[in-house]
Amino acid sequence: MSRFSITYFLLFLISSIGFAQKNYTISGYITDGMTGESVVGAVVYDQNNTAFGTSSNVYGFYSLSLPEGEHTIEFSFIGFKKEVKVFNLTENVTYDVELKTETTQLQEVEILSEAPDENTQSTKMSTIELEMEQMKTLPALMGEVDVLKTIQLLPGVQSAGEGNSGFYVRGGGPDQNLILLDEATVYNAAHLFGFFSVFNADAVRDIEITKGGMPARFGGRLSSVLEINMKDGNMKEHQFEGGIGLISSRFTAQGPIKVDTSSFIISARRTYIDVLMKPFLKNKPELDGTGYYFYDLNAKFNHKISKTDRLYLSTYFGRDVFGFKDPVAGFEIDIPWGNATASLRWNHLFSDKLFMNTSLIFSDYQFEFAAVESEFEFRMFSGIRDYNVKVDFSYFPNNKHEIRFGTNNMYHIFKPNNASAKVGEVEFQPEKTILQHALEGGLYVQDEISFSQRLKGNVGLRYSWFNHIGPFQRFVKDDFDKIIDTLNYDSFEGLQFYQGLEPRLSMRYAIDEKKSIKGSYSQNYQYVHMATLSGTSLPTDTWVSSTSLVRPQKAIQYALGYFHNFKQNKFETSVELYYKDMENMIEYEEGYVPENGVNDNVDDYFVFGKGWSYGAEFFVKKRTGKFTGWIGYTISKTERRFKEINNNEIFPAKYDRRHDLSVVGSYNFNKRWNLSGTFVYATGNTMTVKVAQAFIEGSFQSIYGPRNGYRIIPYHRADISLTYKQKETKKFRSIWNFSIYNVYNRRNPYFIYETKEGSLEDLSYETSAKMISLFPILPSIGWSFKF
Amino acid sequence: MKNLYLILIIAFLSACTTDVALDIPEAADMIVVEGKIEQGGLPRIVLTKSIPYYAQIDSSTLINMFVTDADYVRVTDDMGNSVDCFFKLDLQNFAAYYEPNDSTILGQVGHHYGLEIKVDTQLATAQTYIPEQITLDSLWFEAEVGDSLGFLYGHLTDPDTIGNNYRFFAKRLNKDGKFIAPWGAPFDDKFINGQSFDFFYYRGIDANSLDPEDQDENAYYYRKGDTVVVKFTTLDSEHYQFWKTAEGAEASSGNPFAAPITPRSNIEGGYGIWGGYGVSYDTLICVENE
Repeated sequence: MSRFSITYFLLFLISSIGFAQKNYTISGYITDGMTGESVVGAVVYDQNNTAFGTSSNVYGFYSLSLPEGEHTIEFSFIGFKKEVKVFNLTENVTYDVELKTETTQLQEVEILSEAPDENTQSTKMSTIELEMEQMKTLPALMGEVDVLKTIQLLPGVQSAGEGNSGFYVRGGGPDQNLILLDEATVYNAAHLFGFFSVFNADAVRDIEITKGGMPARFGGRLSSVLEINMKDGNMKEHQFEGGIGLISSRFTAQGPIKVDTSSFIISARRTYIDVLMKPFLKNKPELDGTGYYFYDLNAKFNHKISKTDRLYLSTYFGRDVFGFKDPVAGFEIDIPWGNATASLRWNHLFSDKLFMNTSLIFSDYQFEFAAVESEFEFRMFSGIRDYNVKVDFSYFPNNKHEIRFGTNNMYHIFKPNNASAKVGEVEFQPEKTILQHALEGGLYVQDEISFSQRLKGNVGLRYSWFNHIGPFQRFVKDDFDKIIDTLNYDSFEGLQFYQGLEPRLSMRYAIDEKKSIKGSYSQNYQYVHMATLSGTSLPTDTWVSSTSLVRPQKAIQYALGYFHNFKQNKFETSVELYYKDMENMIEYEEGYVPENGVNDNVDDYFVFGKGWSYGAEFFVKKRTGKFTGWIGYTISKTERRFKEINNNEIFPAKYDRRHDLSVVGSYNFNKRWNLSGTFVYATGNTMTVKVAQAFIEGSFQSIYGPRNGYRIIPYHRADISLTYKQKETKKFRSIWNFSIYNVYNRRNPYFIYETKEGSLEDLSYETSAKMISLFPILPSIGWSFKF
Repeated sequence: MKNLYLILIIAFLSACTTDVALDIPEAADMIVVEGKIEQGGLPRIVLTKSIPYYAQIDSSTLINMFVTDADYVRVTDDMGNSVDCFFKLDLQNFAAYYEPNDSTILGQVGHHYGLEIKVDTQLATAQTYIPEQITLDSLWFEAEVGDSLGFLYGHLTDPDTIGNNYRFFAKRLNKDGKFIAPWGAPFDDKFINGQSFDFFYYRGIDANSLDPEDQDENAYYYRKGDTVVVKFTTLDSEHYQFWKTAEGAEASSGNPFAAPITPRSNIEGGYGIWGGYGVSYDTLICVENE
């Protein structure tokens, strides 16, 4: 976008605000009357003129400007009684709303939380919000409710594999998803090789995933934003809840510190595989001290300082701990890894039209591998740490505009693979631990504009920049990879600067109240990268900075959709087409082994290429009634082209999937019993397989065929679960959940391995390929309580 | 380390796994080169064709894999010399290779060597370099089990310039038919640049050995009384990368979480290695160090 067009764009925004007529504003916070939790996405509108409407933001704040006179305003949110209030506007009004739970319709919980016609009326497309309560009734692997696995049931979001919480959005890589927990980036959202995600469902309030048409306030990733908001903590009374499952237990405590002023929530979860294993290891002294477990701790505190100011402090800390000890042989391995995040946020209302949030955010991911064998010691470590300062404003000048603008500045410290070793007294220190430092920032403005009753748009522009700074060591190599010089850079010395403009646009044209067409265009830059060897989320995956060699990834996405609601919004349907073009995608060069990058400039081992993906997503959802659920189907194609991979020929992405189907259903027999089921089908993943062998120095070496040239059999599976709510008393609530994973015991592919019969010495042998499938039919039971 | 994950996952979920056989397609054959030129030596090239991976292999597949009738196998140097190599069969050592009939080209430190091979319609080419040799400061035997079984120890002073690559070979006189590279034989100076340090190797075993001494549980030890010739070599970076990635490929072979690694060949139009070696030899009789 040229400088002229930006100026024009800003002028357009300002002028259209200037011409608006004189209005008065109704503003305030919307909370859950039972708990005092903020209600996000509650709808506020004028019953006599539905064009005058807004929704509450992530802090529950709303602001609606209306012409002078009488207005009947409705406040509503799924699962709550709607509140209607008549205002005679002669001045600005502050009005806080406490919504009451709608007890009469309790069993008609909706699958997705949103306003009745949000699907067709909002400018948002490619965006889905999920409600936690419903998620908890869906079947889950080993009974562990997992938000990342539930989002994989949505069209356009693909699972990384059997039991894996990793996901791919519209052909983008696993590093292209921005996962935010109370605004803090979570860099590795997986426990135990991806089988479980780090998010404890009891601590989470709501979730929203954006797959395309990303608003300008988000940046830094190409493919998606997954926003996860923790509960604030009950403002009214103390509450305890917990659960006991097959592999873990969890407990949450929340309550007011001062009623309606400040509250807290603390939530903990820990697996106990190691504890259960203990008795079996008793008679094996050589395994004493061996075990695996993970835990998560979430804590949040919030305080209303005044009518206009509120503070939130949220933290997360989680670790996976694997230890292997053989005291007899003097051998020991320790592999701890995990995330830590903290965010301090300050909400401030400058006026009833101007809302501000300032955040100080810390995120950290560390991985370590330490092995000790008598005299030898080996350590390998990697990680990333961020410090982020962010200021966001929401400005509601009149009922035609909702403007957001803001900026953020982030300081990254990357620790790609590093290692050190010790033999007796001699230390093999690497030349120096190689760190990368960088500053990343963004500045954005976006405006949700109502052009007319029918035409609405979200127009935005983001300017982002990135500066790779010192201290840094660059090894200069000759043509034979021999290091001939080392360049040293001082702290904060600029090495490489990148910047980019990211225009974003999404438009909605309402054909009538029940039908609309939406389109979006977005351009994104991504300055931090993760190259993976395996294509699944492993704790060893390391994040790296853009440098003089690694250029920012760039994506352009176009999406077009048709949205149609039927039967008083009982049914929602949509079709979305998308095309996404990606540049400067990153992979390790062929033949890379992790040692290569250790204590070296890891960017020397990357290769860069293009990627593209296109497809159509179909979505049908039944929102209300005893039976609720959805069907999502995606047909898509995702390809890559890298000069140095596959001889520069186009190859399918690892997760290129022609067909991807999810069916989710939930039936409430009565207030007590709920039966839910899911079915998924996906085209088989691509793989790179061995096709030949070559005789070198008396043995055979394996030669691989074309990259991702082999496609394994399709994946499909059905799960069911039955939820029973015991008779509720005022004091105590107890819920049992029985679920069966993989009901018809499908043998799904997990990985391929090979077996050999005969041997080369015998001059006769045969190698054959076999497939491992991981989870057979798996029943589980869980109990949760609340008091 | 990737193997460790595999072990962990299998250990954790072994109760759940089941097998299903898969049918995987084959690739067309290509020229496979195992060629070397050592300081002071003639070039020697073992020439074969690749064979399918998931297939029944028997003695006729193995015999037919050797290329005995290449159109030409030509070695050139950076001084304008060129020599053709001819097929030789060494029945005594079960070896089949191409070698020149004269010594027009003998490996020299500091020189580049080219290789060009034509077999029917397939043409393969490669380049290599012989770096300066670096000798070990000392070499000794240390008993590890009882007083008769042990490892070879060496002391190396790595030159101050980074970018030196090594490969270690050893051969027991009257026992081994050739020099054998043990596991970990290729190493570079990324960790050890400019340092002076001790290292050790256990005994490497010929992949296809039928010798009973190579089969028993003490196979990886040297024995007191062995006379061992150590060949300590220096390699250029591409040559080193081939052996290093070959070890990496072997280590990760069959691990579904590792990246697929085909060893990094330096043969254009084929597969394998054409490598120059700077060489130094040392002979040691295994006795306990005083």
